[in-house]
Amino acid sequence: MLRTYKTKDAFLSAVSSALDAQGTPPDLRTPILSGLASADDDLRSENRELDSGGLNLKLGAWIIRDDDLPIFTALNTVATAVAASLVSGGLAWPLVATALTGLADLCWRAWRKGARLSSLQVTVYGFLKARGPLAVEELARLLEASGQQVPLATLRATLRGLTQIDINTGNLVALAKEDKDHVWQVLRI
Amino acid sequence: MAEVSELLKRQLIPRLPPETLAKFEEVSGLMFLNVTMEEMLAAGKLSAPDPGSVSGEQRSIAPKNEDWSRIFAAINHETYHYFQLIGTGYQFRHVSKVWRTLMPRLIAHRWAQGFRDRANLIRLLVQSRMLPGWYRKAWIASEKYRRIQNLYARLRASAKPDDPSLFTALLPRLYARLDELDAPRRTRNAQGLSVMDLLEGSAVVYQYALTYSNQDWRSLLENDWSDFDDTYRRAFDFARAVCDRRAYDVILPAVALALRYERPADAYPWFVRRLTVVPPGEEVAAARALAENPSTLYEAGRHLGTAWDVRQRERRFPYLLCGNFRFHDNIMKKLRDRTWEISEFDLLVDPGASARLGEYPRNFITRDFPVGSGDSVAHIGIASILLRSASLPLATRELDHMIQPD
Repeated sequence: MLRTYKTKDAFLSAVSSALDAQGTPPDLRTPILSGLASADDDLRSENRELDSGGLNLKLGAWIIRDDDLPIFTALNTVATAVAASLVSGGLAWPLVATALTGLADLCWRAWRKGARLSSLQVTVYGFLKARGPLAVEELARLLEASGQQVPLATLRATLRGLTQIDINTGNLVALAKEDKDHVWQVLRI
Repeated sequence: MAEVSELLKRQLIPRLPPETLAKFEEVSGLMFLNVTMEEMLAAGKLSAPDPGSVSGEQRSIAPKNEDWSRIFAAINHETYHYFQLIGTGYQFRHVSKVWRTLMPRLIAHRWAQGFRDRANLIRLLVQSRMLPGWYRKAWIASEKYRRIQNLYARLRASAKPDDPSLFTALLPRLYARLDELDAPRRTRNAQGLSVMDLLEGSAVVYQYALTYSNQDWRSLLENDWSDFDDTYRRAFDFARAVCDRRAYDVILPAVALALRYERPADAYPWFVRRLTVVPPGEEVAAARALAENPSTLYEAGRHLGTAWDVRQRERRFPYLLCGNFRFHDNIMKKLRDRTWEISEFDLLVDPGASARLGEYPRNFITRDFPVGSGDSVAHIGIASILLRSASLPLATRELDHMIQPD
């Protein structure tokens, strides 16, 4: 099922309702929406599809598909956890909001290009964006502090998975990379 | 190479971006819908019990739900492209050229590949003759995988950096030729129009005229034009500049006539102007008369006629040497013979005519379509080759996982 919206405002209002349904508090919702809006602007100005033949029916309207609902759930979870982590670290709210906007921008951009991320992948990606670069052990500690216990082996596998994500164009892209000191950081696509 | 086929089978259906509702592949005649089977069935359930959803003689399904109606509109849009293929000389000739370019090269490639596979198998059997029986089979399989890995590595080395397609890497000259064939359709003329503009613009008008036939579809479309990119709007904008709101009644017959010429984008302005001078409501009748007595338009090149006219010309030497494009012969013959009392021209100018069509090809492919075996795989395979859906990076990753699972 897909829903189409004639204006960006109507689209953002629908996303806001979807986040509301997840129980996202209003102070988290605003920066998430702002991140989604900026990612969507960029995506719409890019040529999103290789000219691969055939006769397409493309819509210029804003679209939300049922497939998009998991990303809203995941964004709600990761934003709540990241905000709690940053606030407890003593960061001022405007900086926390900026971090959440960046996180939402990154996740929506990847999602809309076809990266079907699991909830754990979004969480790890989000934490790396907000708190990274991080070593695996450090990341595991931060996740544990935010109430999510992830075994190190699972975390390593998740990070490895983020280095080869397939997207709609048929390309494999890296959303994260490990440097020679075994520290992980996010990559923007 | 059965293993490669298995890997590719999973990649046959193109992954469409979220804003693309559907894609029509012209040679196979397949329509790829960016919805799942479950979503399609749900749309059917929503619309079927509503007796008001069947609109009189046109029998078009018009679901009440606006979002579902977008899916139906997309199906109608792509179906119109199918009608353009089986109805117009230009489109049929283009697709036929693609077919004649594709098939000999594919057959030659397959033969060569088959020969290499056999030679390799014989070599492996000889090399492994001293190995114990229980190990021999596994060794041969691993050697075959290694060979495919090497092939993929060579293809990655030669592939263009921004092109992940497996087939463009495998057959670069074929795709260069296919791009050459497609280029004239995308080239815009002095009026700023291309053949693609004509194909897409008329399909948009048709999808509204059919999907919302029991409503004021012109007003609905008027409100929705901003949802469509320039390619979908240019032909209509041109007609509107000539004849204002009559453009809604002029565009389908004008495009249908233009697509009977060698250079449709150059013929279209002439037909728009010609149909504007007839009294309102008589556009289709005037177009029919023009179709029966085609004018010589020097600026638009040769008059090609209908798809069947082009098909007839291809029965002659030297086309027979190349193997003709015959996928749609059956339905084209029935349209020629007026089996359902409609012509190919009716399909293009009268949205209600599609309801009288006695048969449709089996051509809906949803995102999760189960790619099995037999006929559907052959058709999907051709579509996949032309749409370049198989990805080299994905095939490489899958092969690596098969050889060395996590």
